[in-house]
Parts: sequence; structure tokens; C-alpha cells
Amino acid sequence: MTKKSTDNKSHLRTWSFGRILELETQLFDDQAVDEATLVERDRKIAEKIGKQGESPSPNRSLLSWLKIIREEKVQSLTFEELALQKAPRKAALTLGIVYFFIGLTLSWNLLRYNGEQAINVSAFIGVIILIQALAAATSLILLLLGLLKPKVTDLSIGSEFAKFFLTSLTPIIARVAAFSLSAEKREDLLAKVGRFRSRLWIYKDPLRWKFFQLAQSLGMAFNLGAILALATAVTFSDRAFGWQTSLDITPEAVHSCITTLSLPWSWALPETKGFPDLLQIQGSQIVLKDGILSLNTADLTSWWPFLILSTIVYGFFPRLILNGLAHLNLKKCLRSIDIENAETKRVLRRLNAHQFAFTTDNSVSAPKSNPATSENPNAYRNSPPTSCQAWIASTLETQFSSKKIKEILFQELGAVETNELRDELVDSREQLKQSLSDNQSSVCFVLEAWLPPLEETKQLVRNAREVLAPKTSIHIALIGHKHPSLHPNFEQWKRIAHQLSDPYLTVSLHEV
Amino acid sequence: MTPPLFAIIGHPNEGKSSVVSTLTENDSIAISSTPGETTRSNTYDAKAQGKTIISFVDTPGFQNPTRCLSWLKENELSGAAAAKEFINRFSADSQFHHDCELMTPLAQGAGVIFVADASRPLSKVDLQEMEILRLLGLPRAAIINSKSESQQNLEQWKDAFRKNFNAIRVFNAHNANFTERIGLLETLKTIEQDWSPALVAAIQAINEDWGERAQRSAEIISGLLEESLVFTQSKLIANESQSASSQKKLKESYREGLIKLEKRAWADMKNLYRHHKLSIDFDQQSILNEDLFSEKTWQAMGLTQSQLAIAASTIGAGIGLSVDAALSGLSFGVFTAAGALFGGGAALLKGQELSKMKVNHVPLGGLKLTIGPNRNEQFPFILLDRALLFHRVASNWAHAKQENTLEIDSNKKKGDSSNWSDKDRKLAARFFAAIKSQRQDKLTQLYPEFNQLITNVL
Ligand SMILES: Nc1nc2c(ncn2[C@@H]2O[C@H](COP(=O)(O)OP(=O)(O)OP(=O)(O)O)[C@@H](O)[C@H]2O)c(=O)[nH]1
Ligand SMILES: [Mg+2]
Repeated sequence: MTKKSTDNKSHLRTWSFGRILELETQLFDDQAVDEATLVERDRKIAEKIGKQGESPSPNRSLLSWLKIIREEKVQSLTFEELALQKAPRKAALTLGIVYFFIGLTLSWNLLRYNGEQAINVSAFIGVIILIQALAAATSLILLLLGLLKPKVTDLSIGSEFAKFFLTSLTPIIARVAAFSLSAEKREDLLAKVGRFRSRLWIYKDPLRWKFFQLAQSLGMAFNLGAILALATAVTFSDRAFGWQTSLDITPEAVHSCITTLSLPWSWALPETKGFPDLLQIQGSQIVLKDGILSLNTADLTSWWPFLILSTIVYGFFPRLILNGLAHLNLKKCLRSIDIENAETKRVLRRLNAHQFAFTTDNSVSAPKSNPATSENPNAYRNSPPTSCQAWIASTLETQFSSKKIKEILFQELGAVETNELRDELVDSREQLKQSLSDNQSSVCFVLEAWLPPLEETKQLVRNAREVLAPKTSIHIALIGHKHPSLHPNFEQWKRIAHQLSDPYLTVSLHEV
Repeated sequence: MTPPLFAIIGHPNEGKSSVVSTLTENDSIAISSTPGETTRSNTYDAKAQGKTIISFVDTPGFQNPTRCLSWLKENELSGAAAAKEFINRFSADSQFHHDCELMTPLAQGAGVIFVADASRPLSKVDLQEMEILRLLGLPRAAIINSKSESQQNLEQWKDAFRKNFNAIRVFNAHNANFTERIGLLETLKTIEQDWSPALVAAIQAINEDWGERAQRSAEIISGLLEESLVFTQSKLIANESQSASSQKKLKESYREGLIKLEKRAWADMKNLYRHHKLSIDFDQQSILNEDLFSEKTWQAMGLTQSQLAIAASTIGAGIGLSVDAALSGLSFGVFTAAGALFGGGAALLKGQELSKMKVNHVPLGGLKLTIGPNRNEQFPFILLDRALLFHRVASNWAHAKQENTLEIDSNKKKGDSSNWSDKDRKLAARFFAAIKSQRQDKLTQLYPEFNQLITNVL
């Protein structure tokens, strides 16, 4: 989809899988880089984007950002890194080739002919055509269910497995890790798994279509292999086909069945050309004790057009159509994908910080947010939402004036409405439910930076997510007196944010 | 009598494991700056004279103080029974795993040692945790384990502690030495009458054990001196032509041999004080990181030339080396400054002249090279000072401090022996002379005296 021929503009409007992969790789790499460096890098990029005169829609900004980073990177990419970039495509291609050869060898074996015994078409029809037709039908049902009710395809085996892998496995990993790893390694591992989960969640719709499409492509490859085997067999050698069954089925029944199956092409290739007639069917019935010599040669070769045509029509075509549908759906998904989440918002915020600085236009809201970015490189922040409810741990007020706290929150989040984080909110989900009015665009918990995250604070965040809409930003602001001991806590909070697998959760540290 | 059981309780990452590590002299307990390092309760025994005298339980930190407290209040339970009930109620809930673990020793009626870093602000959760412990009503003491110097919040903490605990004690897990450990046990004595006799016995056992360790260290040090002072190396060679290179090699191996003896003695002392992680490779700055024969070592340790002369005079030996004689009366500090002028002087101190090389003809042909035993008067004092310094480190090193940086001001600090009385130094010199002369009668007479001297200075 992102061929070189595609013009630059559409490049910058829609996401493709390749771009998403690139974005995710970049976001992942950025995690290891300190905020100050990122701010500086993105300031330069924002300048470049500014020159191109792009309007800063989030999608555009991110795509341009990615493009500039890519262009800069290309010069310094090593051979291995380049190879790695192409890996997913190569893997898919390899898989396709494998499927093609499976189809080819399987049919080739079914078409083995030793000159004494006619090839049994029932086996070929059963193993290749019938199974492929069934597979195509299943895909179609899944597709229809998926179109009607997107939830249903979640129940497919693949995603069940994924769910088990991601949801049930996490506590198991946690248990095992607790025994054998140091806290730091264990928490890091869980953070990685958690982050992976949340990224998957963001892309779950296009991913589903991508996998569906891949499955169809593999089916096509398989059928192509089978067709090629058939065509080669009949073109380059003389093969006798016959049919046999131990069931009590008369040639007449077989004939009516074959005629029905051949309906799609009978208008172009009639009986005896596109499929065998009754006489040919009678003539090619294999009776084991008689051997091949008792059968008529013309009857024996009358089967192959039927085999090829039905493989194409019942095996290949449905897959082709499903593939096309999947492709269309995928495109639709990608076009409407909501790319804004905590991590991309950080990028946007860095890009916008610059734009605020550049525009002298007074109408830009919350211009205060820009100097904060360079002032506090520890912030792991969010773009300023329009309204925010802040819940402040009571101890903080014994340490800092409420004016100071509000000032910090304003820099981080814009205008906030402040409340006390009462014990009941931690203690009971019901209380929290009543207190968090869900018309808020975001919620912020303001906590003591000198305390490590506790299970009950984690639960508070989980509960808040249950109460709030899935994409409402939740922010954790840690405030404390400047001291090195705050950093392990902040690091742990960042890990926890990943572990909670919540793509709309952010953490920031404010040292006073 | 079953040894008293204490659970070390607190918020995550406050230094609970550090406290247990230091109190039980166990440096294998996992300590890290990442909160949640300890995930289950583990019992560690403080041992003296081969017996367990007190058991400490290292626990994970509270994970749900708010929820725990509200449950306790709701159910109006107290004592060990409350802890038991808590475990029954929450053991199936993985979110309460740590809380259940920390309640386990409390359900067994353990005493509570609450650990808090009082350099940070007192928070609501801290008060909740204290309240939980107060409601449980077990005998309890609070330990102030400050991770940094800040005193700003101390009074606030002390206030809260006074309301909730029977005793309070400052105890810095990473710096506490023997005396402070005993001090903490003395505090524990006061929180529960019933445990007092056991703790008195424990303190006595620890003191006795400590005395035994000093004695044993003195033996190790005397042993090291005895072995080093009679240590020789020899080698057979075919003819004169090999002599030069072989002499060089032999000198090398002689030095290595002495270094090895010293290392072994140090390792013995380290084991004696139950250090397994403390490595002999000290920080770059440390004087103990210096080689036994390095110039720095010889500048910082041992006796000054005049002290050496006086000590040596008692055994009728001259200082022996002409350059030393020329310099006698100068302190080492002056000597260092003068080192550059004298050129070879410093090199000489480094021990090239530790011993003369002897070359003997062997009856069956060939030559025998022998080096040693050591004749340098300064050498045993250097060895002694180093051992004493190492002993001081090993015996005072808190087991929670699992890194091995050592800060000793090598500019000011002389080795111990230069601060001894003349009488003591003379005794040492006589002991060294007896070893060198291999006079058994003198040795048996001097050994106990010298040992007593070392035990006293340790
Ligand atoms: N400077 C200093 N640091 C300390 C002291 N005690 C503990 N620490 C540091 O505090 C951190 C936590 O120490 P731990 O002993 O592991 O704390 P804990 O309470 O067992 O922690 P969890 O097992 O995670 O609940 C480590 O980085 C220690 O090095 C101390 O007395 N002085
Ligand atoms: Mg611990």
C-alpha cells in the first residue's frame, strides 16, 4: 500500500501497517532516551514541519514527524537495521511461499500415477477442494459476523489464545518472576508485557483485519500451488483419472452432483469440456479387481478440467474476494484509527510546544505549557486537556501550599478543579464512582513522590478507569521535595503505568 | 527457651531488609532501591556461640494500609488473632499477598519493629500503618532508619512514634556497628517484660561471642606474623647463567607468597565476622586497596623511623639499612616530601631489600637460590597495621551495606602501631625477633603477651 509510486501527500494523511510499526518502534526507542534530548530533537523536527506549512492535525503531525525521523535515520541505518525493517514483510512472503509449496506437494502426491491404477479424483476433491471450500466458508462466516458485530470475531480461536496469553499469563509471569528475579528485573519484565498489551489494544481492529487478510492470502497461495500441480501434471504427462467409493453411490448421483458443482462455468465450458458427462463418469469408475485396462482412455482424461476449474472457483476465488474485503476493511480501519494515546500525545505535545513558541498568535490556548517542557525534563506528560479533576493526597498539603500545588498542576495540565483524595475513595469503588463525574475530560491523582506505588493506589487507578470512559486521560502527578530517593519511586510508577496496560495513563514527577 | 521473635514491619523500601541484614549479620539478604524487593516473609536468626538467640522476620511492605485499617476497624479485632483472621480473609486475594505475608509473623505473636525513614515527610499511610500496629496491640518498637541527613521531619516522626510505640530508637542500618546493635537489643528489652530475660541472655551471648571473635582475630594476626616472618622461597638452578633471571622470578614469587599469606588471614577474619560479599578489593581511594608492598602503604603504615629505632633497640638490632639510618629521626611525612630528592630511597622502602638473596652450591651440582626470611624491621609493623585496619573494617561494617567502598583518610591516618606506647611496641619487636630467631622458649613466653596486646587493641 505504501509503494514508492504513492504520492507524498496521501503518505502524510493515512496510516499503513508499515507506518504504525515504524511509529511503535520509534516510541519504543524513545523510552530509553532522556526527555531533554527528545525535546531538543522534536523542537528541530517541529521547525521543519512548520516550514512545510502543514496544518497540525494530530495524524498529520505524527506522520510528518515520523517521516522526518525516518529520513534522518535512513542515512545512518546499518545493514542489519534495514533488514529488520523489512522483516515482517519478508516473514509474510516466506509464509506465503511455504503455503504455496504445501498446496503444490499435497496435490502432487494426490496426483501420483503409476500407469496401472487411475488417479482417484474423490481423494483430490475431498482433500483439496472440499477442505478449501470449507475454510473459505468459515472465513466468510467470521467476516459476516465480524461486520455485523465486531465483538464476535474476538471469540475466534486466535484471539482467545491471545487473550489467554496476555491476560492470564501476566499473573503467572509475575509469580514466576517473583521467585527468580530481583524486583527491578521483575517489574521491568511486567512493564514490558503490560506495555505490549496496551499497544495491541490500541491497534486491535486493524490487527484483526490484517490477520484475516493474511489468512486469506495464505489460502490463495495454497490453492495456487494445487492448481499449478494439476496443470503441470496434465500438461506434461498423460494421466488417467477415475473415481471410486465404497459407499453405495450410483454414477447417476455422481453425475448430478458434478453438474451442479459445475454450474458456475457450465455456460462457458459445457459437459465433456468443462466437466464429465454421465457416460464418462460411468466409464471412469474404478473397480479394483478389473484394473485400468478395462477402462476407456477418453473417459479417463475427462476429469481434469473439472478438477482445475473447481479448485479455482471453490478454493481460489472465495479467498481472493475475502482478501479484497479484508483489505478494504483494513483501509477503513486505518483511515479512522485513533492514534492519540498517552505516548503519542507526548510526541504531539513536544511538537506543539514548539509551535506555541513560534506562533505569535494570541488565540493559542494554554501557551504556558511550553516552557514547562524544557523546565522539567522528568515530566512524562500529557497534552493539556480542557478540563481536569485533580484528587490531591492530603499529606501533600502539609508539605506544600495549595497555591504551589495548583501552580504545578496548571503547568502540567492546564486549569484543574482540585479535590481532596479521601480514604474512602481508595477504600471503596462505589465512593469513587460517585465522586468521579464522568463528564470530565481527564482525571489527575496528585500523590506524594516520596512514597513508592502501593497496590491500593494501583487499584485506585484501575477503579478510576472502570468508572471513566476508556479513552479519558488519567494522569498521576507526583510531587515531592527534590531528593534522589524520589527517582526510584518515579521509575517504579512509570513501570506500573505500563503494567496497567492503560494507553491513556500518564505519570509525571515534579520536584520542588 | 525458644528465642524471641521480632517482625520487621514497615512501608516498602524503608530499609526493613537492611535492618534485618545488619542485625543478623547476614549479607545475603536482597536489598535494592526498587520498592517491592522482598515479596514474602523470611525468618533470619541472629546467632552467637553457635546458637540462635533471636529470630527476625524480614517482611514485605504494606501494600494496602488504607484498606487493611478500615477492615480492622470494622471488625474490631486485636492481637495475634486479628492478624490470623486477616490472613484467613485475604489470603486468596492476590492484591493482599504482601499484607498477608507481613501478618504471618504477627499471627504468631511476634514483637514488632517498625522501620521508617524519618528523613522524608510523614504521610497519611505511615499513620495508618502505625495505627494498624497499635490496633493489633503487639509489643512494638520503632526504628528511625534515616537514609539521608535531613532532620526537618524528625520531630514530626518522633511525635507520631511516641503515640504508637513503646520504644523508639535511631538505628542506621547501613552504618550501625556492634555497639549500636547491642543498643537496639537493649531497647527491645524494654518493650515486653516477658521477653526481657531472653534478651538479657541474648545480649550476654553476643558480647561473649564478640570477645571470642576478637581473641580469634588476634590469633589469626599473630599466626600471620609468625608465618610471614619465617617465610622463605628457594629454587634450584643448573648454573650461574640462569641466576639473574631466576633471582628476579624468585623475588617475585616471594612477594606473592607473602601477599597470599596476608590475603588468607584477611579472608579468615572476614569469615569470622560473617561477611561474604565484602571483597578485599577495596575502593581505589582506600589504603587497604594498596598492595602490601606499595609505596603508599609503607608511607601510611608502620612506625616512624625513630619509633622503629627505639623499638628495635630493645632487641639490640640496628636499623640495618644505611639509607634508613641516614633518615632516622625524620617522620614519614617528611620522608615522603624528601622522597623525590633521595630517588632510590623510596624504592628501597618498597621492599626490594626485604630480604637478601642467598646463593648456595648444592653438593650434587647446580645452585640453590634462597630468599627470605624477612629481615626488614619495618615489615612486621606494616603487616600488623594492615591487619588491624582490616579488622576494624570487617568488624564494624554493617552487613546491609552490600557495596564495598571504603573511605579511610590515608593522609592523616597512621597505622595503629605508631600510636601505641613504647612499651607495647617493644613487646611487639621482641615477639617479632623471637619468631625470626625461631627461639621456641621465648616464643611460648611472648605469644600470650602479644596476643593479649592485640586482643586489647582490636
Ligand atoms: N543511605 C542509607 N540507605 C539505606 C539505609 N537503609 C536502607 N537504605 C536503602 O534503601 C533502599 C531499600 O532498602 P531495603 O532494605 O531493600 O528496604 P525494604 O524495606 O526491605 O524494601 P522492600 O523489601 O522493597 O519493602 C536500598 O536502596 C537501601 O540501600 C540506610 O540506613 N542508609
Ligand atoms: Mg526488603
